[in-house]
This record gives sequence, structure tokens and C-alpha cells, in this order.
Amino acid sequence: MRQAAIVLGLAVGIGLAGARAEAQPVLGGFVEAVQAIRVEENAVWGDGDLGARLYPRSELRAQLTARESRDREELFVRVDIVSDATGRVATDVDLREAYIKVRLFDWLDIKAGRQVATWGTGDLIFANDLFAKDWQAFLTALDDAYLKPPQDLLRASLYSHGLTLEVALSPYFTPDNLPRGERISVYNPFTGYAVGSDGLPRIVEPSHQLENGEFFARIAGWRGSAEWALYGYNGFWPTPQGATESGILYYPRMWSGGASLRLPLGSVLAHSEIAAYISRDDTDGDNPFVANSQIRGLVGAEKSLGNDWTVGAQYYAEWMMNHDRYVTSLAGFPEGTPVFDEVRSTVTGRIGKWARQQTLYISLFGYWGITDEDWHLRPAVSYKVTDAVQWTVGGSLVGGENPYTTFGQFRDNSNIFTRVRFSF
Amino acid sequence: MKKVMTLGVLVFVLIAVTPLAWADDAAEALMNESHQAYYYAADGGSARVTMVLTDKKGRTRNREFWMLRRDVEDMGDQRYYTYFIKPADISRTAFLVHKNAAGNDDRWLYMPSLDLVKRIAADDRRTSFVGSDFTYEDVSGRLPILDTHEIIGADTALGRSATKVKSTPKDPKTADYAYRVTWVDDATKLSLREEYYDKNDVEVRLFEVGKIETIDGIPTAVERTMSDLKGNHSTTISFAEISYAAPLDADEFNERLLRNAPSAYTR
Repeated sequence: MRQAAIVLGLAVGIGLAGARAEAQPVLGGFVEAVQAIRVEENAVWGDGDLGARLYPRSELRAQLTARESRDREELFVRVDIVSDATGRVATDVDLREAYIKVRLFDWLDIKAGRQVATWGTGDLIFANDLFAKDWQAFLTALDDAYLKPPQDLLRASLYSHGLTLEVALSPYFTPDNLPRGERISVYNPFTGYAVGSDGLPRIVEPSHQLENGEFFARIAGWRGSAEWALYGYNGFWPTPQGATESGILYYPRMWSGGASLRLPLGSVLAHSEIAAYISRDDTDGDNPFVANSQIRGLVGAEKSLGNDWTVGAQYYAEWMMNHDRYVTSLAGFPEGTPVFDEVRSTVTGRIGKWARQQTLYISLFGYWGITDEDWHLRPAVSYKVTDAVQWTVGGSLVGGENPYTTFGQFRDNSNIFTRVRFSF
Repeated sequence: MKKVMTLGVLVFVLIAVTPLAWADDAAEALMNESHQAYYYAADGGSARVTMVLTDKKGRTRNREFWMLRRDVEDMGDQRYYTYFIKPADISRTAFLVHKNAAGNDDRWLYMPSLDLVKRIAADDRRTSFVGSDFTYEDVSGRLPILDTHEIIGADTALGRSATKVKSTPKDPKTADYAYRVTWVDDATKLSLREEYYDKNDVEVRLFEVGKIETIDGIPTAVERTMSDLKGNHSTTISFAEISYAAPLDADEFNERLLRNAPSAYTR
């Protein structure tokens, strides 16, 4: 599948470059060196080789982009070539985007192919955005843009009467990319220990069949300065929140519906979202091996303090819809089995400051899991040495009371990193 | 005799007062005319913009972008769209502003690597535009009604005869300077030069037009420089491929435009 996609991408790229003699695609990209270093000991790699023990990521990355646009069409290709120095991951060609975008009618745009998609209002918190996420990239030193891995989508956007209706279809399911123990350790729920790639439980993805495809929809509009949207999704839980009796993790089916609102309140920009996640393999909520249905809610605010300072805060909560039945279903489980709370809440905070004619950006983003008693901090300082060279130093610090919570499962993997990127 | 004296006093008062009142009205009218000519020419337009930022050590950074403008009404709301070409790391990024004359602007940024439409919290308009010496207010205009204006004489700038107008913010909190002096071109009403002073009468900022061209019959300042005299850095902005044919309707400055840059404005 991956090979096929790469071939397709290259074909599109070559076609794009040579389709018309006068065609002059706009080329660009960057070369980047990334080095992350652990700042705490991790028992999983206690006696491993130095590379694995010290460096969650150490790589050279080149990205090439090509874009060709005419009146109503645009072709775009973006490819990453990654050379890994830790010895754990082979040199990789990662086709991140290869799509064609066509304005079919004045009221209809089509975007087909491999692409990145994002919607919703949250700041690094997602309720209605069910496009795939790459948490491994997010936790190991890559630019925030890598939080969104590509997906193969057919996306149609209809515009009429000031409303936007978008529908996106994927012929197969793209799960979130979670750490799998090769860069940072993960928690094995069956053994109760943090493990590397050796001790991972088996995870099965739905087969690449049309019936395992994904459906995304959004309808959005404006009222004055306020933006509202309604969302729908049919597919799977983005992380393997189901387990078979034989100890295999899988992705249970799920559909979702929700809404968002974003508007300025005085000088504060406020946003909120609500979404229902209905667990189709456990609609009654009495199966302890499959995720319970949830309501997810989010409110947040951002404010500019002047002088290039920005602050933001969010409150996020997940409410388990059938908590009583879930608790009842746990009867007979061994003592010490984690029992999840009915309501899990998290707050986030952001502070950012531009300095030196906006060549220096200093920022801190943090998650604090109130219920889970876990946390994740993302400090970063980024400096544009010249128009072409950007130097970033940052950290991905993570911890928690328990090893099975959202961030707690990645504890003992805090790392600091540096990135130097040359863009062209 | 008494009557004559009364008349004399009256005439004297009239003579003394009228030019002042006149001056204010005339100054305000002139600044309105200048604002209209500078920020609201035609109903909108497009231009390929080059910015050169020079720091105090003489090092330069460059920005290139397309800028589209559409007026909702003269001297009122406007829509701005910016598509970045350079530097490379922000190429394809797009920026949308709904300028609300009566309140805070609405602003969105489209980040193509994430396909993310990010709305940006309202900011005071004095913050820098893309790190340059131009503020958002410089780019989209400070309404003349925010200041009191006074004609203080005639002079020349850019080799053209001009009228000097002193403008003082009615609310000092809305500006980083105590007052500014503008050289308004007598022929085109364009601002040719602006000197910004702090409360100690020290000049802190200087705006100069380098070149005026007539495009589609409209005199246009195609090269402008803003210098920060305290920080000793400056930005020169040049406009090319200028058109005053309104590229889009005001209601087309929306999320679709952010996510789908018109191909004519992407290279």
C-alpha cells in the first residue's frame, strides 16, 4: 500500500513537472537536522545501546514540495526523505501530500489524494477533528506541523448561501500514530509495565476494505464575527481502545457528531466544542474491553496582551456515558485494575512572545490532567538566524502519577531537542 | 464711537478666530481626502509586494507576498487577503483580515502544512506586520477621526509641493507617539512624509514615500519606507503588478479563499 502510494505520488509529481512544456511548478522545501536527548532515565533502555538509550530521535530530514496551479486546478506534492541516525528506523521516504485540487464549479471544490486535513477550534486539543494525529512525532522533537499525518482522502467542499458543506471520504481507516516503543517507551495494559518495541501487545488495524473506510463531514457558517460549525464522523476510535480476550488490541467502531463555536468576546477570542463519541461495538457501555461512549467538551480563550505577547487557556472534559455499567462490568477483575473516572478533565495553557522584529519566538504550552494527575510541557525557543535558517531548541516533558493515563503512559520519556532547518 | 469699537472688536475676533476654525476644518478635510486616496483608492485592488527589512547592523530580510484588498464602503470596513511567497518557510501561508472600522479586526491565518485555519486574537493595531517596521495600522490605515488635525504650513517633499499637517491623537492610549506631522501632496493628496514625535518632541519614527506612479489613472505610492529612528532599523515596501480592478467581492474574502489561493496570486 505504502509503495503504491509512493509510486502514485512520484507519478503525479512527474506528470506535474512535465505535463505542459510551459508548466513551471513552484518548487521548495527544506533540509533539517533534528536531535533529541533524554533528560531522565528509562528502565526500558537501561542496558541498550547508547543511541537507543539517549536519543529518542536523531535524524536528517529533507522535504521537497512541488506545486503547479492553473486557473481552476492545483497539483501539489510534498515528500519527506528521512535518514535516521539512531539505528532503529530505516531510511524512509514519506509521501506526505500528493493531491489534485479542482474548482469544478463556482460552488464546488474537490481535493483528491494524499493530504493533511484539520478542522475544529481547539488548540492542540481535538474533539471534532477526527483526522489522524501523529502523537509519536508530537512527543519526539518534530515541528508541531507533524502532529497531522497525511491521509488518503476525497474531499468535496460545497459553498452556497454563505454556508460551507464539506465531506471527506477515505477508502480505509488511518489510525493515530502512537509511539510503538521504538523511540519512547509505552505502557502495556496487559502486563502493567512500560515496554519498548519488543514488549508491545499486538495491535490489529481494520483491513483496507471499503467497509472499513472513514467518513468526515462538516457544515459551517458565520453570524457576524462568530463562526459556527456542525460535524459528523463515522469510522473507528483513533487509538486501539478495544481488546480481545486473547490480548490483542484493536480499533473499535465509532461514530461521532458535534458542534463548535468561535467568536470574539471583547478582546478575548473564545472557542468551544462539544462532541459525542458513540462506541458502536459497545453501545450499552457494559463491555469493559471496549471503549465506552463519551461526550467530549472544550472551552478556551486566547488573548493578545500587546507587545507581541499572547496567552491562552482551555478546559477540556470527557464524560463517560455509561460509567455505572462500566464499573459493574469490572466486577471480577483482579484487585488493582485501573478504573477510569466518569469525568476526566484537562486544562491547557499557552504563553507566547515574539521578539527581535519577530525573528525570535518563545513559547510554552502545557497540558495538566486534573483527573489523571498527569502533565505534558512543551517549551520552545525558535530563532530565525536568516530568512532561510531557523534554529529551534525545545523540550517535550511528560509525567504522571499512574502509568496508564494519557500522558502518564509516556512518563520517563522527557526529552529536550534542537532542530536546525534550512528552507529553500 | 462705542458702536464702532464694538464692531472693531467683533471684526478682530472674527479675523482672529475664523482662520483657526477654518484651519481645523480644512486640516480634517485634507486628512480625510488623503486617507481616502491612500487606503481606499478605487473599490479595491491587488499588488505583488516586496518588503526589505534592514536591521541596525545593515542585515536584510525579505518578504514577498500578494495583497488583495476590497472595500466594503469608503472610509469604512475593508477586507484584506495576503498570500506569502517568501521567505520559503512561510510560503503558501495566507492571512485574512476583516477590518472593522468600528471595532476590533477579525483575523485568520491559514497554515498549509497543517491545513489549519487559525483565528488570531484581536490585537492592538500597533503591533508589527510580519516583523517589519510597518504596523497593522500603517498597512490598513488609522482613521483621521481618531486625531485632531492642524495645518502648520507649506513645504516640499519628494520634490513636490505639500501641506504640512500636525495630527494629535484624541486618546493618547491609541498611539505610541504624541503627535505626527504629515506632508500631504498638494496634487495627489497622498501622504509623502510622516514624522512621528514622542512627548519630548523627539522624532522617533519616519515614513517616506520613495516613488509615485499613476496606475489605472490613480496616483499610487509604489515605494514606501518606514524607519524606526530609536531602534535604527527600517523597512522598505515596494508594490508591483498593481491593479485597481477589484479582484473579488467582499464576501469572497472567506475561509474558502484562505484554503484555496487564487492561482493568479500565488507566484
